[in-house]
Amino acid sequence: LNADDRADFGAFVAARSPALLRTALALTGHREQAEDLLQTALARTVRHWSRIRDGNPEAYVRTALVRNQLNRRRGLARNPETPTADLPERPGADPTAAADIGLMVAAALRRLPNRDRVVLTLRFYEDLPTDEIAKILDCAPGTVRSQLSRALQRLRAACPDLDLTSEPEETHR
Amino acid sequence: MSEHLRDALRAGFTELTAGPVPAGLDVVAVRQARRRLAAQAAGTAALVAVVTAGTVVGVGAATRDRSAPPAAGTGVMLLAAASCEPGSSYDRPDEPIRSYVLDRRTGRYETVGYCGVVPSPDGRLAVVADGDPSAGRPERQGIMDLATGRVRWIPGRTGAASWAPNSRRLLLLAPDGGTRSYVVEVSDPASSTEVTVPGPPDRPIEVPVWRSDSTISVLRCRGCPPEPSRIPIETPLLPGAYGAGGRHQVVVIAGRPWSPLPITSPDGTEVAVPRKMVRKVQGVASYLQILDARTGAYRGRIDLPDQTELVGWYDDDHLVTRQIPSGDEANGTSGDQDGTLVWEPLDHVWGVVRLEVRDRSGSVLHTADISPGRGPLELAEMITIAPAGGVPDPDGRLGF
Repeated sequence: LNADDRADFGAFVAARSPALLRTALALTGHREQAEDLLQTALARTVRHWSRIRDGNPEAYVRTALVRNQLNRRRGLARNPETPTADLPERPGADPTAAADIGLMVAAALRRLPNRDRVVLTLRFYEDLPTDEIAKILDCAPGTVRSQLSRALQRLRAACPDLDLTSEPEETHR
Repeated sequence: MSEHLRDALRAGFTELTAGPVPAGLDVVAVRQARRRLAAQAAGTAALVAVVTAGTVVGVGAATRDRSAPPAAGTGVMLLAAASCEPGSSYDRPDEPIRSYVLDRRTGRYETVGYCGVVPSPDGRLAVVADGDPSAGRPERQGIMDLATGRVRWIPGRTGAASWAPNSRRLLLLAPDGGTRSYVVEVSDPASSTEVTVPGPPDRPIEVPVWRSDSTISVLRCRGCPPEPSRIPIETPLLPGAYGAGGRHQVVVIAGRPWSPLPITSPDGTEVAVPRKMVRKVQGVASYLQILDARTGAYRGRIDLPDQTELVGWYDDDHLVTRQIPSGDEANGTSGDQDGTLVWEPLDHVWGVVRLEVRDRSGSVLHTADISPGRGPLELAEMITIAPAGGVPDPDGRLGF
C-alpha cells in the first residue's frame, strides 16, 4: 500500500467497521470469533485495496465475511465454547418483554448451525433479497429459500414459547 | 404473525450485535496481511527444502540433540478422519455422513457412516456418534466394533471422547466446563463413572492427562510464566491419549477456538499443551507449552502460526501440526480475480488433510497431504494419527 491507499483504507475501516463488526457478530454470535472474522476479511481486503477501493469495498468485505464464516469448520457451528445451560425466561406482558424476546432469540441464534445463522443474518439482519443472497452463497435462489425455511424451522424449535409460526414475506430494500 | 417473527429476529440480532468496536482494526489488518504473505512465502520454501539444524528456542534441558531432523516417512500416519464431529451432522443434512478409518490389516481407508469417529489405541474399536439435536434426535455416542460394524450405544452420556491407553476405558468430556464428564468402561457401556476434571485453565495451568496405566491424573504446571493476556479457553482440556505400542495417539477436534488436548510425548517424558491467548491488537495467538510429564515443570514454549493446531508428536523431539484453512485463503489460493471474490467450493479446499512436522523452534521440516477417501474428503473435522509401524504401505503413502 502506498500512503494514499493506506490513508484511504484507514478511513474506510474507521467509517464502516462498526457496521461490519455488527454483521460479523450476527454471523458468528460470538464476539471474539466476530473480531477474528472481521480481521481476516479486512486483511484480505487490504491486499487488494488498490483494485477494489473505487468499487464497493464494503460489499467485498461483507462477502468475505460470509464466505469465510461458511468455510469455518462446522465444529464452530455448535459453539461449544459458549454453552447456554440455562433456559431463557419466558416473555411476558411487562415492559421488559421485548428485551426478553431479544435475549431468547439471540441465544437461539447462537445455538443454530453455522449455515442457518448465516442465511438468517443475510435475510433478516442485512435484509437482502433471496436473489442477492444466492449470489453471495453461489447457489440457486431455491436453495436459499429452502435453507431459510429450514433455519426458521430450527429457530422455532429452539424458541417454542415464542409465536414464530409463519415466515415473513420478503421485502426488497 | 410475520411481523412478529421479523420483530423477534430483529430483537435477537440487536441483542447479538451489541457492543463496542475495537480500535485499530486497520492497523491489525495491514499487519495480518503482511504476516500472511510472509507465511505463504515461508510455506512455499518449506515444501522444497528441508530445514536442517533448527534452533531450539526456549525448550530446554535435554541430553540428546533435540535439533536433529526426524526420519521422514517412518513416523506416523493418519488413522482416521471424520467428516463431522458429534452433533454437527445437521449442518449439511443433504450430504451423506462420511468418515474414514484406516484398516491396519490392509492399509486401506474404510468408510464409516457416522460422525465423531475416534479409533481406540488398539485399533479394534471406535467411538462413533450420530443424532441431530435440532431435529429432535438427540445426539448419542457408541462404541463400534470395527471388524463387525456393530455399535453399542452409550445410554445417556455424550461428550468429547478420549481413549485410555489400554483401550478399555474412555472419557466422555462434556463441553460445559467439566461437569457431567464420565469414564465409560468398554466392557459395559451402560456403566459409567462421573469424574471431575479441571475447569477452564485461565489460572495457573492444570491439565488432565491419561497415565500409561490408564488412570487420569491432573498435571499442575510448575514455573509457568504468567500469561501476557487473558486466555479465552472456556472449556476444559481433554486428556491426551497413548497409542499402540505405548506411543501416543490423539484426536484433534478441529476448528474449535480451543485446542483441547495436552499430548504426551512418545517417550512419556513431556506433555505439549495447546494454549491460546488474545493479544490486544493482533487477535488470537496459538502456542504450545511444553511441560515435564512427571513433575509439571515448565520446559518452554513453541509459537505456532495463525490457523495452526497441534495434532500430536512425530517423535520425541518433533511435533505434528495441522493448518486450519480459513475460507478461500486455504491452501494459498487467493480466490480473487480483479478484486472480485471468487467462490471456491469447499471440496476443492478440503480434499486432503495437510499435516506438518515441526521442530521445537516451530519450523516446518516437511509436510504431507493425505487423501484418505477415494472421493474428496469434504471436511476433516476430527483426525487421529498413530504410529506408522506394522501397517501395510506398499506405496509409501500412509506414513510420513
